[in-house]
Amino acid sequence: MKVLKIVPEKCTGCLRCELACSYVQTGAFQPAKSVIRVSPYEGHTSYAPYTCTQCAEGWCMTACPVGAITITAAGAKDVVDDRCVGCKLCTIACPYGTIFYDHDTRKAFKCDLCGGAPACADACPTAAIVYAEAETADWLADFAVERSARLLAIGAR
Amino acid sequence: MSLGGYAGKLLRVNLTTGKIWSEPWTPEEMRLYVGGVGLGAKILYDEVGPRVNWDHRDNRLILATGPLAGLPVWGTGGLTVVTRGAMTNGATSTQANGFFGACLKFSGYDAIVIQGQAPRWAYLYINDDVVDLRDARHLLGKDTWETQDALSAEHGLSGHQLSVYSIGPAGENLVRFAAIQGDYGHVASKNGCGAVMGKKRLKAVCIVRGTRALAAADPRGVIQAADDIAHDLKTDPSARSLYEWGTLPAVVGLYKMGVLPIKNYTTNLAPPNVNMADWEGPKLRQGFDHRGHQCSACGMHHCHMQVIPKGKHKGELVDEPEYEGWSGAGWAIGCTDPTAVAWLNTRIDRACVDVNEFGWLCGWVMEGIEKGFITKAQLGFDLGWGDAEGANRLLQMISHRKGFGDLLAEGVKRAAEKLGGAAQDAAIYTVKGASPRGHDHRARWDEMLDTCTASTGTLESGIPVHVTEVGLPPRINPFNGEEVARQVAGILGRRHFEDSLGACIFTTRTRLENMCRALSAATGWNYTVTESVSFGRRTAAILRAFNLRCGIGPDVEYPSKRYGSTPTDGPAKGQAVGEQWEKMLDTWYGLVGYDRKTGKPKPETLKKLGLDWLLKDLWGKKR
Repeated sequence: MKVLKIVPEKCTGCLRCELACSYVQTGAFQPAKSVIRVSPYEGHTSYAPYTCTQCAEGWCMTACPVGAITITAAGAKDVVDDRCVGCKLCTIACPYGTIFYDHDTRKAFKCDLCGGAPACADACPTAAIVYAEAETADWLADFAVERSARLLAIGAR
Repeated sequence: MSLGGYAGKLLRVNLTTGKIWSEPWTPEEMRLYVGGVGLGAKILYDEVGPRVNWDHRDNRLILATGPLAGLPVWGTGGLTVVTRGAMTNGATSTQANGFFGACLKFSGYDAIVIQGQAPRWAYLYINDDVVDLRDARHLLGKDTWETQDALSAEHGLSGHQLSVYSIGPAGENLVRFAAIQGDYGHVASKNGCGAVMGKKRLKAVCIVRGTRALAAADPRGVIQAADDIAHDLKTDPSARSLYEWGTLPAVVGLYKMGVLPIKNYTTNLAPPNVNMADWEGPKLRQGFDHRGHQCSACGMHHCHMQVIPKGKHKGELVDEPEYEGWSGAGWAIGCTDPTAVAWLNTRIDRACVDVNEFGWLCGWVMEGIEKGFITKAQLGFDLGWGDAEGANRLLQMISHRKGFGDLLAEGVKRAAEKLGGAAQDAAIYTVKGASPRGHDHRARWDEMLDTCTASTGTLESGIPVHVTEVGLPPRINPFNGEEVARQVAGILGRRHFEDSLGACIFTTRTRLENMCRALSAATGWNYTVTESVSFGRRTAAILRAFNLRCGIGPDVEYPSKRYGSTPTDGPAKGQAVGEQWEKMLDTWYGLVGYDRKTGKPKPETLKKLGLDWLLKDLWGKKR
């Protein structure tokens, strides 16, 4: 399956992904409506984009009381606007903070992988976001395990 | 709904009264003045009279962005500062990048026009519709990076959630070449714009990343134009090294042409113990632990953060110097240790003065100590060539106007004129007051001519980019005054257009056609290359009319003795710009359509540019 992979050390914090994402979401350029967001680390020296990993457990789906979150053909969890009642439970349930509530539409919204051609990956000038094959949708968990192991190893030295 | 690409409103701030208001501008005005320096020049001309000197409360400080800022075109976080500046006491157009423009546009404004003087130190806070002046007394004395740290902590925001542009101690103390710095390493440095901000008692402008939408008439067209521009930047031979390594390769490249200024123009040869191969772009970058630190929507491998790897300042975080830093904080003062240069360069950004002027000033003091026209007793300590720690001590003296630093804070021209004699002969400046860029212009005559004739307080036309697009020959003999003047005159206008878009000087190194296409897609206009050049020349003429009204004319369009001298060694040895100067001016004046004697744009030039409204001001009622 294909997933959005983030390579944080390649990100330079230009925020072009947010522009591209918001364009797909709204037809205009409005980073506030982007579902991929770039966070700073280590003061102002490092940046990393972050969005829904389409995790296997999908707590947003579990929490939704009206079954408004479905899985698309591209493998993305997506909010069906007609069903969403705007209760925000999903935004609380998501452990990653990657499903949002839109005050204008009064619906939840999240990354739907742009139907299989993510605009953020296309817009990234440094290939810090790539849409690539992965063995598991939970690549983020693998990444976290790997990174913690690496940091622990450094700490143990 | 506003015109695509524009937020549609100007933010007005009167510091004296504390009144803040927004005013719309019309699509017709947008087409005429575009943004950035185009918009700023018109406001400056309309609102700053001849008796309103740079330090008068009615002077305007215009922080403008342009129609491409906030769109996905590379390097479009742009800020253009327009004001009556402290160095020339004339018009200013100086740029910085980062995220200012994008944040401002997403907040709903295309420009901030600041007037008056705050009764006590203040900073301007912008968060969409919440705009107010807040007490800045706790920020006084902080350098620019400390100011941004403090405001980020105060507002609980980090990274690009908050864009802060501020002055450092130098601006607070009205150092004449003080600058405005923002987003850790982006400096609008020219013509003492930081002194103007200091005089207004405005410590910083702090913009929370806005939440508003920015529409484009044809968003797909904007993305497509952005891709084409990126393609040009990645593949065109003249832009590619910038794409790969930023301005780092310029050190060696310009050295080979005799354009790298060494030890206050006293030589063009590297010292024997320096291997120029160590100064190649990749070597300079790889000598540091570094990380990309790009401006809004930019894909260039240009701006970087780096860590000082060794020595007394090991572990300090600095902004990777641009070429101008390697030159002003390095070669111009005889400092050839990259680690020391990188450290000093960021000290200069933090105290916040123009790195070019600092280089000319510090190099001049070092030469003075060596030759005796400035004494150790005068200065208070010994300062030899290449001493970065000493240079920082000098910087601190200047930015706090302590001791001899008080005179030096006036800039090298005024300090040298005061001392006179050998001291004046050794100083690098333009008679107009604009600081030359970090080059040895004795081997780059186009930029010397440009700096001396400019109305912007710095280069007005350079750098030549894709000149064949405007009908110029692809190459010239750099030591043929006639050819040089033809080129400088021929490209007039392009720079003003670029600096009105809210884009960066480096990401506009593409064909004008592409920039026009991006602008057309954003706005829905059918904007042509012809219109862009005409717009640029119109802006240049307005700035010139402004300067003439301030009493700045052709009589000051000369280099200082040292600046216009003949190199005695190196690749440009014996090339005498002084011998061809008058002829270069004659040619330039003829081609740009300005009157050689008075400096005024000729009536037919004004009419051709659609500036009939300037006729009366410049030429009297009868025309």
